[in-house]
Amino acid sequence: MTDQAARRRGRRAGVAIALLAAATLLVNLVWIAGHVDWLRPLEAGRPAPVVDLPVLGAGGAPTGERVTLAGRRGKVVVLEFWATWCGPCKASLPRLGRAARQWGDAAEVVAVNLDDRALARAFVDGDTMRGARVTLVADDGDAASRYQVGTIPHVVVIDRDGVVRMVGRGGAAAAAEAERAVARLLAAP
Amino acid sequence: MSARAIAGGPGFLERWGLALAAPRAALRLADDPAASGRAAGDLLRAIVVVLIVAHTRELVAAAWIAGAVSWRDAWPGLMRAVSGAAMFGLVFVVVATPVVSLCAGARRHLGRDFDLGCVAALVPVTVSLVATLVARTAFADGGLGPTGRALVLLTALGWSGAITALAIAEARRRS
Repeated sequence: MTDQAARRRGRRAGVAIALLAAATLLVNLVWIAGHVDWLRPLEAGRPAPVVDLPVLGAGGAPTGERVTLAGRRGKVVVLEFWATWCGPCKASLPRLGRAARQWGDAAEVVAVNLDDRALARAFVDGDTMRGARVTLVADDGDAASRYQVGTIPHVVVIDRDGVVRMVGRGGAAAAAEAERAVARLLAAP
Repeated sequence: MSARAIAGGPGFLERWGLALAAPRAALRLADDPAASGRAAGDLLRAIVVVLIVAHTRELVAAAWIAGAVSWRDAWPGLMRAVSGAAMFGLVFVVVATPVVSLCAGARRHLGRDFDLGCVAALVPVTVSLVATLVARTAFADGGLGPTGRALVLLTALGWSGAITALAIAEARRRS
């Protein structure tokens, strides 16, 4: 290949790369324009994003039942996004699960697993979770995006009307903060 | 193409294009001592381009969280975007450089071998850009799936592996 031929090919490929980059940027900007609500930081006072997640039964297999917020109106819901490899999650989930026993039917802890469904089921059924009550569901890919899960445990407390009341982004303090938030909501008339 | 003939000639995009369409010429250019370090700069620029155009959503989300909540909460999302853009290329260059150096025999020169590795690493960076565009248009955000991801990985490794072989030949031709 001559110098000129190589340069021509390089220039053409360079233009193709520039077009490719521009197209990718355009696709992302169009998506952003249509999904501003997904990107807006989740804060107290905002309506909770929709969830429709499969409940995991024995062996991590879906039971066919699904968890939706619409179906839990009138009840306080604590969503915890977690994974089986996450140490702080494995500390906060039993704590929230045991608190849920005291809350009775007025509040529910929904554990949204982000990794291995079978391992998650085994953890929830194991000794660490003795005395805890949680509903185990699997993330569908969108829920973690809608709730802007960056670090885990990511805990969100949703009131009886489906409004976010607390967001705990990572750290061991999230569970304690969620417990206090639920207690305040349950104490309110 | 002689390195001297195009040294200082082609711009960044053309050098990126050369790495894909005329890799021998790109490698000769990168191996020129007069252009030392430029290939590494090109790889860095390419990674920044991919970060901006392929991870725009994550960057916007992180910036918004940083402004509305805190930098501490925005940090993981920002780091995920940066590592998503950089990891494939950087891991490849870390592996390719010693391979080129070892195979160059007595003509090895770690700095120049690194430049050659950076040329080969432009391939996985480009493939990741194509994969992002395909995933976000053809698959409606559902992702490529395990088969698609394996295909992307094999394409990137095969293509950049071939360029690494050319890089070894280039290094062995040094005077």
